[in-house]
Formats: sequence, structure tokens, C-alpha cells
Amino acid sequence: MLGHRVLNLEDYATILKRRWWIIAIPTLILPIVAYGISHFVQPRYVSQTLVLVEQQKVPDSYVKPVVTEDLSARLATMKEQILSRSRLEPIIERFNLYGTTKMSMDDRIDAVRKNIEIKPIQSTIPGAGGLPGFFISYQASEARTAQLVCGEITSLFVNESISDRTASAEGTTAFLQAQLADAKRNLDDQDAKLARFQEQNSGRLPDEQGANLNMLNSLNTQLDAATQALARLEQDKSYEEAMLAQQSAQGSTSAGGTVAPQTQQAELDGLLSQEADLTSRYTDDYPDVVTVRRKIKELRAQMAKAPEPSTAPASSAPSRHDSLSVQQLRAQLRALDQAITQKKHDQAELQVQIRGYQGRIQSTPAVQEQFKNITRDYQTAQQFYDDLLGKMNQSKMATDLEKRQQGENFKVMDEPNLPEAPTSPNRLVFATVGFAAGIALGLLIVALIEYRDTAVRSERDIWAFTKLPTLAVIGFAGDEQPAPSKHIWPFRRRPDIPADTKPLMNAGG
Amino acid sequence: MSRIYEALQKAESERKLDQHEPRASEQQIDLEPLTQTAVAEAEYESPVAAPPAAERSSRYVAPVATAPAVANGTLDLSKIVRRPWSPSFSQLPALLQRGPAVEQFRSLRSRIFELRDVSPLKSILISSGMPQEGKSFVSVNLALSLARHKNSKVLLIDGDMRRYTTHQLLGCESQPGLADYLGGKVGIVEIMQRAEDMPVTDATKQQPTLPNLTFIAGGNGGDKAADLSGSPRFGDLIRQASPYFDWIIVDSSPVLPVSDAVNLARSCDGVLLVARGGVTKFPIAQRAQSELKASKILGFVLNAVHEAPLIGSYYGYDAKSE
Repeated sequence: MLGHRVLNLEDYATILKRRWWIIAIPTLILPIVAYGISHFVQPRYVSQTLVLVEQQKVPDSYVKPVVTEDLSARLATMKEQILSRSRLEPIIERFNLYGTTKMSMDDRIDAVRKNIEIKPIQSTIPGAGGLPGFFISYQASEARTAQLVCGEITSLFVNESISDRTASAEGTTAFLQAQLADAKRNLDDQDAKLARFQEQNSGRLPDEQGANLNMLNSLNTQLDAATQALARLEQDKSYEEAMLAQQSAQGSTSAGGTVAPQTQQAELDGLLSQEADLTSRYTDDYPDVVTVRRKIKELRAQMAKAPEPSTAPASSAPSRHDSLSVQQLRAQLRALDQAITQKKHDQAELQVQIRGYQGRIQSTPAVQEQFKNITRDYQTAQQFYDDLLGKMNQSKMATDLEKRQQGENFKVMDEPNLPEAPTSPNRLVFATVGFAAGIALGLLIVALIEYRDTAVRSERDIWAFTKLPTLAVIGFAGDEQPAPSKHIWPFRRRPDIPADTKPLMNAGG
Repeated sequence: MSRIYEALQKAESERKLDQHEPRASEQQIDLEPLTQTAVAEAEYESPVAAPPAAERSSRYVAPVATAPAVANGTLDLSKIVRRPWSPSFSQLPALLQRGPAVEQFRSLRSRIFELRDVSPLKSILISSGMPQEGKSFVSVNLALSLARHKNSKVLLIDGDMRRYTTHQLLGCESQPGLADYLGGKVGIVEIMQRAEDMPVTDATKQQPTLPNLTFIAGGNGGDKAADLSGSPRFGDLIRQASPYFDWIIVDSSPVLPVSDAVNLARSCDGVLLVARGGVTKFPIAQRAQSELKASKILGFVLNAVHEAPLIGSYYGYDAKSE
């Protein structure tokens, strides 16, 4: 009646009561069948090992680890590497895994891959972060094989970790070394450039400016001194000439009461030079200037009044007629002339020097700019080089640490165990699944039977399909069905048939 | 429970009948005086020996000074043949003193009484959709159950003229029967039969004698059954017999294969459909219902149910109050 009308709980109970054996039989048989099947299923043994991750033994503050990649990421990478064909194939061949089957190598590798399980231990302490370790397990059809293969895979992992870290550290060091060489080359270039520049601009460098100024000052002083000395010498010379003229005049005849015109001329020259000197420094109203100009005026007037001097020049050339004093004077004059020439030469030299120093001082700012640029580049290169050198040393230390296995490494805590009992097939699970399947199958069969069974069985059926009342329900009392079943099944309620009646039967009509 | 209810129903109906019409049994006081309940009880259900034959025959043989066999549309029931019946008691649970089956038929009986209160009801046709669903079993047991109630007089007609089987339950002759009457060969009273008094044996020491049940067997209708069932004589039979009986139960052929039952149903007050639990398919029941939609269908009797509701498991209530 299932599916033909809405059933209530009572109907379901009736169906169950009527068909319970259909559910009971598969429910009893299927677990037994499943249990039997579990004996034909190949047993699976699981061997497991625990690998702990040991942190670096030297504190990070002393040696920074070179490999900073997250362990879980590294583990994933390593897993892929280890599960690669090239790694697994030797193991498969050595232990002859799946050798009895007619599988291709690819299929065998796939099968072995499926049997390997890598399961990280999540730290139970909150906030601890990182992985304290991971389990590696391998399942095989034999306990010993499982243990051996598990050990093999574990050692692969440990070695892989070490070589991976070492390679990584060495790679870092090598890279830094290459960088350092570059930096050194660069630094050397900068060094050469600086030296060349300093060589080219020697004396014009910013730090020589003070010395140049001092030199200029001292040269100026020297020039002044030379100029003054020259003036003195000139005066002396004119005095000597005057003296010589006087001496030679007395010697010749002239005893004129007038001042020799040469003397006047010399005086005039002296005044003129004095005037020129003064006007160069002072205005026309300056008293000294006025005085000098007055003197010049008077002297010129005197010279104009004076009679034309004899054209006989007072020669400084000595003559044998000269007296001793005149000869002395002449010698002195010659000496003076030589001194004057010397001084003038000195003066010119000094002026050349002064111009040189002035040129240096003027060109200093441009040189300073170039010098700064070169120095800056040089300093940058130097800094970079120092930095790299520090890193390089760190890396060398870290590499050394890895080589000595003092860095983070994998430590096998538990050696792969030899499984005592197979993990699969779990007979209880098989039986339970069989039981569940039995119930499901039974229910399915009952549902199918009940759906196909459209016979009326109760007042509710009759009401549902014909809307007619059921006036009576007559119990079946025939002996068409053998009675013994009623005694065998404990759950069947025995109908209340009085002892003095025989089973009733309806022969129909 | 059902018996108390029946008693109340009975009292109610008697009051009504007193107001409307005199009871048939009282009209026919010369035919069969209804014995007192206590007497009937003693006769049916007590394990004592049966009363002497003479005494009992006096119950059935009414003073017939005034009544001819068939005169002016009346029947002389004293002419009814008495024959030796050997009932198949194993198939007549309605005759038992106690037990679930007795209770189930009693409960059916009370439901019919209820229906009679709603509308007049005397003749009931019993049919079903397909053969082998228990029409005859229900008919005979219902008739017996009704007959045991205060000595009601019941006429049981086997209307299945093709495969008549009711006589096998009662263990009597099947000739002459309804087919002969409908064919016009014999009269009404000739086809009726009653049971002879049965000797009390050890095997049946607790079995009551059959109550005042009058039976009309099927007779051999054969291929003419369809025509016979359409004959108006069946209506006449019901009409003429009605005054003499409290109930007329008509067993019939299944409605889906043949149409006899539908024809007979026209002459009856109500139709009771039988369905066999776990066998009758609901489409069959629906089609049977639609075949008989011209008649008044009283309801269904669900027969041969394995998980029957617990009725009559109260031992200690026996039929003494019937």
C-alpha cells in the first residue's frame, strides 16, 4: 500500500510486523557475508614514524638563519620532490613494491604515492606557531615492507632537508661573494678616479684653498717689500748721480752757483713720481698732493729761469781723469743699477706667482663641485662594499652552521614501527557496513513489495479508496497456512483462539 | 459490549415498531411463536441435552388451521421441508459460544442494526468484486449470527446460481434451489428448507443446534443464470417472504466477472461488499463499488485479516445474554 495513500505510524508498524523477516534475513546474512569478504581483502599494514623539527641551536641574534622559508611550504616542496618518479623508482625496485602485479611502472609509482602519507602535527599550544614535527606513514600489504619503506622515505626526507638547507645557504654565500667582487671592482674604479682627479687638480682642491690664500698674502707682502726696496734703490741712485754730477762739475771747472740742472731735473722727476704715487691714492685736495704740486711748479719756474745748461752730459762713464771719489761713486752707481735690475726681476716673478695663486683661488668652486661628486660616488661604493662584506660574513657563518648541522634540522624521534596488526580490513567496520546494507536492502525490498502490493488490509485502506465504512473485520482463521511458524517466532502475537475451537476456514464463494 | 448495545438498539427499534406497524412475527403468531430468550439460550448454549423432539417441533409447527400453503400471496411456512443438515462447524464460527470470530460477527450484526435505525433494511445482498473472497462464509455466518439474536427468523438465499457453495457449509442438498424457482418450475415454499434436529454426539456436545434459519439453495442455474437473475420472480420472492422473516440474507456471485449480483441487488434493500484482507486489490474494490452504484452499499466487510483487531479476547463474556 506504500505510495498509494498516506500512511500513518500504525500502518508502518503493521507493515514492519508483517514483513519483518524480509528485513531480518538480509540484516543477518549481509554482516556475515561482509565479514567473510573481509578475509579475502588484502590486509594493509601501516608503519609510521615521527619526525621532529629541531630549531637552530645557535640563537638567531648571533647567527641569522639563511633559510627563512616557512617550514610547511618547504615540507610541501620536499614532498613533491620526494614523491617524484626519480626518487620513488629506486625504492620501488629495491623492495619490489607491487612487483607481483602486472602493473606498469607509472601505475606502481601512483599506487606507492597513494600509500605515503605526510601529516604535519599541528601544535596544540595556542600561539606557538610553526610545526613541531610531522608524521610519515606508509601502508603496504606486509608489515616488514611497510616498515622498511617508511624508514627509507624518512631518511629521504631528512637528507633532503639537510642538503636543501646546505645548498640554500651555500647558494646565498656564493651569490654574496659574486656581489662582493662586483662591489670591490666598483670601489677600486672609484678610488682610481679620485686619485686621478686629485692629481690633476692638485693645488686647486677645496682643502688647499687656505694654504693658497696664505701664500697669496705672503707673496703680496713680498711684492710690497720688493717695491719699497726698489724705490729706495732708485732714490739712492739719483742721489749718487747727483753726487757724481757735482763731483764731476767741480772737477771740470764749473763753479757755478746754480744748482746743476741735472739735480733739478732729478728732483723734478722725484716730485713727479711722488705726485703720481699720491694721486693714485688720494684726491687732488689732499694737502700732500697740493704741496707736491706747488713744489713742482716752483721747481719748473726755477728751471725755466735758469740758463740753458751745458749739454755736456754728466757721463757716468769713468774716465781716467776721474778722481777717486768719483770712481767710487761710479762703482756704487753700478752696484745700485744691478740691485735695481735684480729687484725688478724679483718683482716680476712675484707678480707671476700672485697671478697663479689668484687663478687657483678663482677656479676652486668648480673643482670643488667635481670633487664632491667623485667623493660621493666613492663613499656610496665604499658603504655598499662594507655592507656586503658584513652580510657575506654572516652567510659564511650560517653556512658553516648548516654544515655542522647546528641549524634547523629534522630529527627522527620514533623509528618506523613494525605494525603488529593490519589496520585494514577492519572486520568490525565491514560487519557494520554489512549490517547497515542489510537493513537498507531489507527496507528496499519491503518498500518495493509494499508498493506493488495493492491489496486492502485494513479499514483505513478501504476508507481511503472507496470512502465506504467497514462494518466488520473478520480475523483469518483458516488452516491454509501452517501454524508452526507461530511458535518459532517469538515476536508474533498468538491470536486468541479459544482452546475448544478448531481453526476456521473460509472456503470462499 | 456489543450485546448491551444491541439490547438497547432492540428496545429502541421495538418502540418504533410499536408506533408504526405491528411486527411481522406478531402478525404471524400462528406460524412460529418466538420462544423466550432464556429458552433459546438454554437451547443454544447450555451444554445440557436437547429437549425432546416433540417439544421442539411444536415451536416450528405452528397451528395452521387458517393458513393454506400459498394463498392470496401468503406463504404457508409449515410446509417447509426439514432435511438432515450436517453443518461444517469449523467454518461456522458464528455458532461458537465465545471467541473472537463470534464477537466479530456480533459486531457486524450490531452495525447492521444501527443501519436499520437510519433507514428500513431487511434484505441484504452480499457480494464482492472477485470470486474466493468469502461471500458465502460471511453470508452464512451473518445469517446465523442474526438468527441467534432473540430467535430472529432469518432467510438465507444462495443467489450464486453458477457456483453455489452455501449448501456445502450447511451440509445440505442444493436441489431444488433458487434457479428452479426463477425458472418457474416450483414455488417459494418448495425451495425452502430447514434443518432437522441433530443428534447430540460427543464430538459436538457443545455445538448448538442450528437456530431458526430457513435456507434457499442455489439450484443449478448453469448458463441461464444471467437471464434467471434478471427475472422479476426474484423480486416477488423477496416481497412475499419479507413479512415472515426478520432478515433476508442473499449470497451472490461476484460482480466483476458476471452481472447476476447487480440484477439481484435491485430487489434488495442494501448491499454488503466483502473484501479479503491482503488479497483483494483496491482497484477491484473500487470497481465493485462502481458496479453496484445503483444500489445502496452499506459498507465493506474485511474478511480473513491476519492482523485482526483484538475483539472477544475478554473471556467471561459469553453469549448468555443473547
